[in-house]
Amino acid sequence: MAESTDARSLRLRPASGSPVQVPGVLVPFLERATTAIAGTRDAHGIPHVHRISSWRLSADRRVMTCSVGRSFEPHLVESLQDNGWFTVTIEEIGPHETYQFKGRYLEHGPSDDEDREAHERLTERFTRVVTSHFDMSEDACRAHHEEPSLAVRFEILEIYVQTPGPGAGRRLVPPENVS
Amino acid sequence: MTTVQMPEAVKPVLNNGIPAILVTCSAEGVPNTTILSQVYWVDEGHVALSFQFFNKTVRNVRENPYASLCVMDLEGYADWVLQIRYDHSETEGPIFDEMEMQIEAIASASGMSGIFVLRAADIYSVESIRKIDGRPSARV
Repeated sequence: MAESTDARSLRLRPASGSPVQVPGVLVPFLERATTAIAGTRDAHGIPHVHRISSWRLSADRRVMTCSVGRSFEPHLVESLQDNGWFTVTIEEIGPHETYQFKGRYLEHGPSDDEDREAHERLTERFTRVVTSHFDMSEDACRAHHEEPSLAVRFEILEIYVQTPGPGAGRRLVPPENVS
Repeated sequence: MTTVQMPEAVKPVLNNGIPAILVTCSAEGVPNTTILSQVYWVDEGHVALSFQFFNKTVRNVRENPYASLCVMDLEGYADWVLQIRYDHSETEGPIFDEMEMQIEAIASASGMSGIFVLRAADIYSVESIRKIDGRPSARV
């Protein structure tokens, strides 16, 4: 399928820009959010989806580490190494509070104990929230976020509000009046 | 362009009320990940996505028609990943009317009445489909 992209109409560029710091007000959100999904695109401009098994923020709030399970590894590393773009949308199920973090790939490697601990906390939150809001079994909820196998570190370049509504898509950081 | 046939097993997953995930990419190559309230089965080779706001997703697929869609079957312990291609938009007709009715029902159930307004039904062809078996035993 990749070969069928009309590359003439695309002006593909690698990830670039100045790293930003996640506002402190979003730190509690990242600790209570209940689901996340990442996006990459390959050398042909074809997007790919990757379910996130855990996420965590560096102490300086400029770098995020996201892990994926084996099922969502296809196209991930080769896309990151081609152009560096990594984007992750994180949502708190229930209130629908949602943000998208776009950034530049730094490195990847096997998931470690910190990723596995973050995955366990996410699984607990997800199971608690989804079983209370929907008619879903606890076993199914516990299986939803796959055990992490690979972790990606990326520096954050932009943050967008994606909570449903007319304001969805507004850039939060850097502010939209700053180029 | 190659369109594949989706298995019938996907149909109920599209209608299960669980939000789907869509990744698109601008002409400049910047990916965008968003959550969708509705994916509609058009026929074995096509799905329709709700276009509710003039947002990045809408701009992206008009620049670069390819997208990656993930729909979840929580009780079936599975995800389905579809590689899709934007074909055209419909602002009237049976697909639009059915999606508009479903959107209103979803909005009402999630406290979002008045926020979710269908502007168009965006029709995509399905170019590939992959089932991810999420049963713990399948992941060993």
